[in-house]
Amino acid sequence: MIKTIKIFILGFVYIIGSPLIALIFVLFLIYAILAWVLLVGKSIVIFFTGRTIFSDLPEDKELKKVIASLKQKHTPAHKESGIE
Amino acid sequence: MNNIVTFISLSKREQQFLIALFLIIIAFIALVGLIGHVIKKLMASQGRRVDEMMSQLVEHHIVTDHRHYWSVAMNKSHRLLLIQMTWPLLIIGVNILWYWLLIHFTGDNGLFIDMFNYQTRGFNTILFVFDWANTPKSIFFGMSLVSGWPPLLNTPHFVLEAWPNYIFVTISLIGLIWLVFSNLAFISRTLRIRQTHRSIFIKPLESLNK
Repeated sequence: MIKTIKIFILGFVYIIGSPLIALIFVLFLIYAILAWVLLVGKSIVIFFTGRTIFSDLPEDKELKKVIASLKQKHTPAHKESGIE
Repeated sequence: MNNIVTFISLSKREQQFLIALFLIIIAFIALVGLIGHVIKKLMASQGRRVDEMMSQLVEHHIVTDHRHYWSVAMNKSHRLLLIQMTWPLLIIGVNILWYWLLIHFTGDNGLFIDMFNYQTRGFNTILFVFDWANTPKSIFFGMSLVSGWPPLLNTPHFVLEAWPNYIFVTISLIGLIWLVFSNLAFISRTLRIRQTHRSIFIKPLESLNK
């Protein structure tokens, strides 16, 4: 019952705030399309340098290194050297 | 007081109409609320993508301040935007291109003008079309309110010459709905980044005293 009333109140709020919601949505859409165009351009340029736009960020590379070193720390020494 | 007297003096039909109108308004508000609720849930699931992308970077202290967090998170969000928006924009682009080429090579400019014409070869030929301008209205409490269903102008029927408009409008709608959802996903990611970029680096003072 409370949930239904909550949905009803939300509906009322959405109707009152619909012009503002629509404005925010359109502004985001314009920004997103412009960003998409720029990213496509950037990805084409990056493609001709032999990389892709989806290659790892420096932070991701660092994270991979940290995770690899952590895994190495937790691996027992006899397993690392191959001695059973 | 005068209004209450007027309501009591209304005929049974008018009272039924007022109750029906009230119920329709309630149902409409509830429907908007329900749609909003579903959209909010969808947006929350997209917001969690930010947590997925950023949690390990914060956990391992690779990202240590809010400015760095903002730039990395927005960078990743934009990459996701590129993936999510490519298909709908490509569909819309290709759709416009073939429609334009068809009109260009056949020289049939009327096809575009008739795009939604229900009388000739528009997309609306396969829809119910109502004459909203001539909806029956009645005066209640000095207000002119809708009191009946509008007259029907068209019942769905297939017109072979309208096939380009059927395909064009249908594909455009699919592309636009897809675009709307990708934009909603982008908005929800941005909101989540905005919401978290400061809060996750703040330690409550109470915890420092323990």
